[in-house]
Amino acid sequence: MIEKRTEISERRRTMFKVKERVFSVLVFTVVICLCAVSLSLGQEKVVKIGAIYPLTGNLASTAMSSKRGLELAADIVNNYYDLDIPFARTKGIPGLNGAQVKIIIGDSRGDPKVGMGEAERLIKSEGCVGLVGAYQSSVTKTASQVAERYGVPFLNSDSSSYALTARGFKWYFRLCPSNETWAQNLVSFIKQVEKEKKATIKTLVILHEDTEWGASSADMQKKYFTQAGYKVLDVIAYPAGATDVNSEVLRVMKAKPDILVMNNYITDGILYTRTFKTLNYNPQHFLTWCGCSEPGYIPAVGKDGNYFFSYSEFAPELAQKRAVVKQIMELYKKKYGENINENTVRAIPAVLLMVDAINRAKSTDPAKMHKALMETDIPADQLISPWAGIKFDPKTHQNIYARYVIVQILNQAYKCVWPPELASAKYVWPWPEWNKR
Amino acid sequence: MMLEVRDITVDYDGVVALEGVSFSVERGEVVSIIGPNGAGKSTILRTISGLLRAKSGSISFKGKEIHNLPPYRVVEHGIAHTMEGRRLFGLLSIEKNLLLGAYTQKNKSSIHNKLEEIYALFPILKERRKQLAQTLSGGEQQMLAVGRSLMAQPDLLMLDEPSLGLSPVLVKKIFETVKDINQKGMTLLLVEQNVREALELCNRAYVLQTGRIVTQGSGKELLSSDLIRKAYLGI
Amino acid sequence: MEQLGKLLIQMIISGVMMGFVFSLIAMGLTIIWGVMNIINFAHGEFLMIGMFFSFFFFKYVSIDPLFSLPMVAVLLFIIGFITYHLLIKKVLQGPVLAQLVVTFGLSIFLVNLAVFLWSADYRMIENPIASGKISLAGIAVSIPELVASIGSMIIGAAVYWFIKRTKTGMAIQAISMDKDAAAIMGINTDRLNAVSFAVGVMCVGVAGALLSNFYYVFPEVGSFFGVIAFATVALGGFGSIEGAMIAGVIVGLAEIVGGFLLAPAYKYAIVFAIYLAVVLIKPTGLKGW
Ligand SMILES: Nc1ncnc2c1ncn2[C@@H]1O[C@H](COP(=O)(O)OP(=O)(O)O)[C@@H](O)[C@H]1O
Ligand SMILES: [Mg+2]
Repeated sequence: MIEKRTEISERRRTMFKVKERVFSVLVFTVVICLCAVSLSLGQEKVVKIGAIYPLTGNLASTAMSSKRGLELAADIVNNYYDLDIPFARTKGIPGLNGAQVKIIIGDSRGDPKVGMGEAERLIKSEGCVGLVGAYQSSVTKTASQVAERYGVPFLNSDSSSYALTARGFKWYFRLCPSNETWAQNLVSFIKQVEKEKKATIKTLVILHEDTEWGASSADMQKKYFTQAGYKVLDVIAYPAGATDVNSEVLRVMKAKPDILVMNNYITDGILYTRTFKTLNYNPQHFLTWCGCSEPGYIPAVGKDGNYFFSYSEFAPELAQKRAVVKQIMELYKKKYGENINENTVRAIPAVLLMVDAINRAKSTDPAKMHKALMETDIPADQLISPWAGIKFDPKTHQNIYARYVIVQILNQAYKCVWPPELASAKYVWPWPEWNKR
Repeated sequence: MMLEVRDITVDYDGVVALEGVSFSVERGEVVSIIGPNGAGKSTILRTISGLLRAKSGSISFKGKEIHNLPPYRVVEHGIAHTMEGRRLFGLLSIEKNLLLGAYTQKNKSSIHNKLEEIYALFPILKERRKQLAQTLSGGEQQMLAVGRSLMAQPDLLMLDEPSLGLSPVLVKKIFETVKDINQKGMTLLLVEQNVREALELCNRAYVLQTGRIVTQGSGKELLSSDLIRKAYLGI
Repeated sequence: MEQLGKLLIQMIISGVMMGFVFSLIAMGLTIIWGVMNIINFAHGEFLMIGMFFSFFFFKYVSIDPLFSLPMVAVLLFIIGFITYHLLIKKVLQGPVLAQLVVTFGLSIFLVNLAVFLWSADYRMIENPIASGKISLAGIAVSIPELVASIGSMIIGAAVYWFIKRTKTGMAIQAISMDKDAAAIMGINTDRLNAVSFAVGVMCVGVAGALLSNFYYVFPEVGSFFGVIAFATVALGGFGSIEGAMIAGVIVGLAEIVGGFLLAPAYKYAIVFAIYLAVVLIKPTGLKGW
């Protein structure tokens, strides 16, 4: 009898074990759900901003910098910071009862189609009130089409294809300068070089990777250099994912231009640097765009990166003139343990402007946000970018105050050399030959 | 008993190909398995050599269970299999094909002797030994396939339709060769569709139909049985 | 005219040098395909791993890529061996789709793992022993590229010898021609599949180690070379080792000379055009089985 009972209780116990396990899993699930619900109830209203960046693919390291910029901007809005920038000293969005901002990031993998899908997802499934991104012009192009279709603002502070604003979209706004701006800036710089260095510059070759960004930049450069009286000897397109660039460089060498104007990403930029050196190619100078300004470039090529001209949308030199730039640089360094880079700086204003528009509109209603965006007029001293302010052209929605700075790599560091009022170093011209360094 | 197959059932993805097949081969014998196309003859040989797994039943060879072994272990136990359609390594030379047959053999001089033996048996192979196997004619390919199996120095040689696709003259020649090999002491399990020749040659035979053994007996008995005469010899 | 001649010689030299590296990469891919009928979509990623290993040996233990090469080769062999047993073996009997998905998934996994472990940054080995260049009559030969091409040639020849002249190599060839027939010769197909996969991975890993002397290292680097490897293998004929060797050089030359004479934008299109031309005449590629 006793044995029987132990047997039964034994069996019960094992049965209980199973039940117990099922039960505890259930309880656990319910508790988690409750927590999640109470958390979301307890919090202020959350405003979601969608961001599209190439988190994987060969621009992954660049996108990582952008992502940090988005996080930093959201952090500044949501929490109290003692910074001379709007929304820092308040928590959340004041005009919307202190609503918190949440950035939802979609990975475009650098693919226009994927970017389009992500834009759709961010707007429809995630309920984002506006989009920022998408780095590559080709992705921005498709993603902003989706925003246009759904009627939500797309604020773009890091794609430069001229064609994007030429579309005259209602919901697309570009804060940053375009490749048309860059071509104009370059011509101004070369004119200045001719004066200051008594250089004879007559001919150039334009080299560009063959995605939309490179092709449209090359178009603009050809247009503005030709207009200014220079002779474009050749425009050479090459595949973006090249594993070898000997044929490209040999073609340039055959044409013998005074200056070589390049439009490249970082991978091919590194490859070109090596190939120029091996083939000992020395024009009067190189004007590069993009590749040489990526954070990975100088560490990868070391001293061989010296003297290349490149562009920047961030001039650390601004820190001496604007308190907020210095503060952000310090904040970033404290948070991430490294110096802020251009791609981070580029991602910040789009988020801040989106918040500013919501704040002024006191609503996330698209029509009201649109009105607020059109009325935007932000002075330069509230910006961390070297732009002269933010104000949109009523037709194209291009920021009419946007501009680039030209930097030269000197002692493996970027030094601002143009525009003159921001210059922090004297530039080296002509290019010091590879053999004579 | 050298080879004993007991009650094996084999299927291809659930479709039954062999059902309860049992038979045996004694040392020195020639045993034939005959039956129509699709009866499961090749399946039997593939199961013995480990290319297929039986769902149930057992196979023992020289007193050891072999039905759970992978093919390369079955070869080591002394079973060589000349597959239907020769299955030569077409882009390798004849000599390399033969040497691959001796893959499990460790003793270099015995491999060499065996090679010479095969060359003596099939002089044409020696003549062409540097040629690619795919350049040989059908009959020569069959000789090479048999030779390659013999290189493993097996105790049991399983031949799957060695006369398939050959001209009558060559068929006769192949059967002579098979007989010759047997007379030198090799135990043979022969699958054939040339029923008359097979039955004349073998000691015993099993008749397979749709995966079951329907009758068995000595070659002579079967040659004179009604079933065989009607179904296979067309008399 | 003289200048053009010089440029041409320059291009042929550079093209052939890169070509040998492509050959080695393609050899690895074609061996794996030939033996297992598996398209190794993760091939480029093993190249990436080889590059990273070289880089880490250089950075953390100060061993030059040239001297760490044998270690990288052994490590990649082991990684290939393990990958075979953990993944490839499991899908070999399964549907073709599973085989495609498994190496494709592996490639995505390896890229993401590399990003996670090592970040997406670009790295370069600074001042390795193989650096600088030789200039002769106005023609420049980059030493790291020269070393990479000679290294690829040596390893390629060794692997070729292994496959064509050793007993194990012969067995590997036998499996690639007829798996079942090889099995009943007494060949342990499973073990040799593992060896072949490991050799294939080792080839591409060694190519990565050689490339690391002059090419930047980053998690996505494999996709660039992977694409070229597929084109090379297709051109040479799937499964053909000789084909892969010859096609590698053709691709290297086509890329540079074709890019120069026509337009760099079309250099990979030229490679593809040559492939199409060959396939029209001989559908199995140059040396296909
Ligand atoms: N690989 C296979 N997959 C599926 N079914 C098969 C396969 N091989 C043979 N079969 C089937 O198994 C049965 C027996 O085939 P087989 O052993 O080749 O016959 P035989 O050699 O007697 O002509 C046939 O019905 C055939 O269709
Ligand atoms: Mg059959």
